[in-house]
Amino acid sequence: MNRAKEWRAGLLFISPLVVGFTLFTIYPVLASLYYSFCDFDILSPAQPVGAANYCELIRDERFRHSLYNTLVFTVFQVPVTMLTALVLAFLLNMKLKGQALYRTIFFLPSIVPLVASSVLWLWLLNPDYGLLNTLLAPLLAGINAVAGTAFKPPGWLVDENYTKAALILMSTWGVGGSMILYLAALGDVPVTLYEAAELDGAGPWRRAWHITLPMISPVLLFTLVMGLISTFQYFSQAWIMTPNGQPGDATLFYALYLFYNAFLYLRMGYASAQAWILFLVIVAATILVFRITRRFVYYGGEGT
Amino acid sequence: MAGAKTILRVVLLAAGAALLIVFLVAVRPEDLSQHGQRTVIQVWHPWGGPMLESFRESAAAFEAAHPQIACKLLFVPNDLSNSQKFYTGVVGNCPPEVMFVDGPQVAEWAERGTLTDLTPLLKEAGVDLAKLESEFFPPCWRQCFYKGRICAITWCADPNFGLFWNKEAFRKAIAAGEIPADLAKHIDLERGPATIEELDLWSQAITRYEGDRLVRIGVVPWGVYGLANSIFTWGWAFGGEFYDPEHRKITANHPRVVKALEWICSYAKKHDIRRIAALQSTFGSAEQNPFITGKQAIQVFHISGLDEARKYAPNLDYGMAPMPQPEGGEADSSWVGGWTMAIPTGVTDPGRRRAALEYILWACASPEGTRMEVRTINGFPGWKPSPFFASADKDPRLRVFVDILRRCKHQRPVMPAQGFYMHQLDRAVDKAVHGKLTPQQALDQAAAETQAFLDKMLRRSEACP
Repeated sequence: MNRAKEWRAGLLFISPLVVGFTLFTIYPVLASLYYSFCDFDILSPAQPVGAANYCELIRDERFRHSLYNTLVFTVFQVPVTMLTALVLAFLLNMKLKGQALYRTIFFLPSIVPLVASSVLWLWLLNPDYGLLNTLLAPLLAGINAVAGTAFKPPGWLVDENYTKAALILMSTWGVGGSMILYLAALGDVPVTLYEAAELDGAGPWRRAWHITLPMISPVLLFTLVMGLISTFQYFSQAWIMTPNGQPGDATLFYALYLFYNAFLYLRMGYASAQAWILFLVIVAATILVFRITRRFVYYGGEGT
Repeated sequence: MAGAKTILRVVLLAAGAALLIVFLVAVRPEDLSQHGQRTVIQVWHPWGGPMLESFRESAAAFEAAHPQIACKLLFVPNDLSNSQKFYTGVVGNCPPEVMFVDGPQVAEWAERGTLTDLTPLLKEAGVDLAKLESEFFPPCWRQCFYKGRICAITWCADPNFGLFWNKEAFRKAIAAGEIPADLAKHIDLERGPATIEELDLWSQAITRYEGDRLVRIGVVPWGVYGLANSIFTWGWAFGGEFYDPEHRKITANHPRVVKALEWICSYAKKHDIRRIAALQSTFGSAEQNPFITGKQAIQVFHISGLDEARKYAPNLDYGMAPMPQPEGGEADSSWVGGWTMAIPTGVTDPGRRRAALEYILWACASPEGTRMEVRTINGFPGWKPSPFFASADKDPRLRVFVDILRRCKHQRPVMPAQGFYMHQLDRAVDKAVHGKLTPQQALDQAAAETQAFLDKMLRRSEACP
């Protein structure tokens, strides 16, 4: 095959991706940047307004509140879900009878459709009739009797002090995806390293700390970054379980407020500005994570 | 140079493919097939589930009576935050010929230039506008009339709302001694609570705790089909107003509306809102409707409440009456909700516009069309001469709602920031019942934010009409 033919065939094969990516990703991304400097309601032509949208966002109390909610949520949710996935992966990596079955069972929740699992959790989290508080109530009653305290089971989704905690708790249920990645990484750690460490007298904790964690650190970094990105964009569960960010705007997350501006108030320019700020926040967070973790991540190959 | 030639060829090929895609997407099949005698109109409607079948039958009845017109029905979800398909259709210049528009959307969509002014079309069709107006219940007409234009015509009219009380639940509670005799003597199950004070008394009497747990309640004032609809309902019943059309002023913080929200909040304080929310989250629908199960013995119902009771608890003994009001409030207060029909902007073909108008007039303002409307959604027509009302008057339960509709004074404010307004009211009620803001503060905030949004919107349209 001569070069021209190769060129043609190559272009032809990648054309669906190139055309699709240009039309449906690059164009909308660039358009949103343009619209972020416009007053745009979708229905009439966009009116350029300079940086007015960005200036208004800075003054917007609900915007700041949604950013705060999202940051707090991310700071707790990402480590909690990572830790849960990691502990599960360690446990399921043990040589047990029926290991595959256990792995399947723990992975299952992550393929349950979001809406279905959200509705299920609405029931579990019911403060008076939910399974969770039914289990907690006798426990707290015991503590109260012994310690003379007056703990009450949390109100979860109906108490603004607990809504974020409730959503974090719920997200630990869907850690199957990260758990599978950790399991694969754990399976990849050379047995010889453990054997050598054992000969040198390292116990299980030291082996986990000095061998397992460094060896799976690239996967940990990957899940951390992906977790950050998806949590900054957290939307569906909040939309389904706590309509309008209620109670008391406690779950008014960034993406939810962006959605309201874009589709409920038809302020597409304002929402585009919000989207670009979110993009910058995510980029900054990702760079920060890469900087901080540079010393801790070990690549066996030539990765840096 | 072979490389450049190849690239050119590939580019041309890609352009050809893109054109083909655009053609396939933009040209609807009926455009290609419109060479016969029939004018095809696209109707975008929100009726799914069991309503869809009746709606199809309704369109078939129209087609049978108008053989020169064919209706293509398409289910398009449409609520206050989900109308993207419609907007895309209008901007992309391929809107449907007929669109179902929720009452409070009309002014906003008209202001944004997405609805055709029906006034000249109606005149052209020889319709007597004054007569047409007089044939509609006044709030139904008002919600479609914006800036001197008829932007839509009301298809169904929801008389919002009726107060229902579960007599059985009260009787059982009295018999079981759960309601003390000195309270029970004030409860006239046949008449129902006629004032807010009586409603409070009834609610207090039927509310029951088991230990720490709330197991039965009377009315939940913020549970009237969403928080925004709750404050509209009680705000008007308390004698408040939400909008001053003359000065284009949002009046969410009208003193009587604030009073209404204070009263709503009194329930949150009395019972601990978390207890009520916990009980509410066990509420289901159909047989599990809390009114039917007796968990909520007093409920503010939409007309569909009748249907629900008939279907899932045919032997349930309950009473119903117009909304109660406090001293200085509005007697038999109610407001109209419901769907309207409109012709979107961008329907330029005169033949199709005429056909669309003919369909709208048939569906909204003809004996057969309104009969089919009732069959489809079990809601009332907005057109007074409909033969449905003669039969409804004979049904004692329907009659209560018909009377509510006949006396109805309000519709949600006819102004273009309605979606935003409802969202702000929703937040205000939420913050007030959760004690984050006082009712006055919450409503002041809602009024100020909505006013700013409305002013901006009006300035924008004045700048580029």
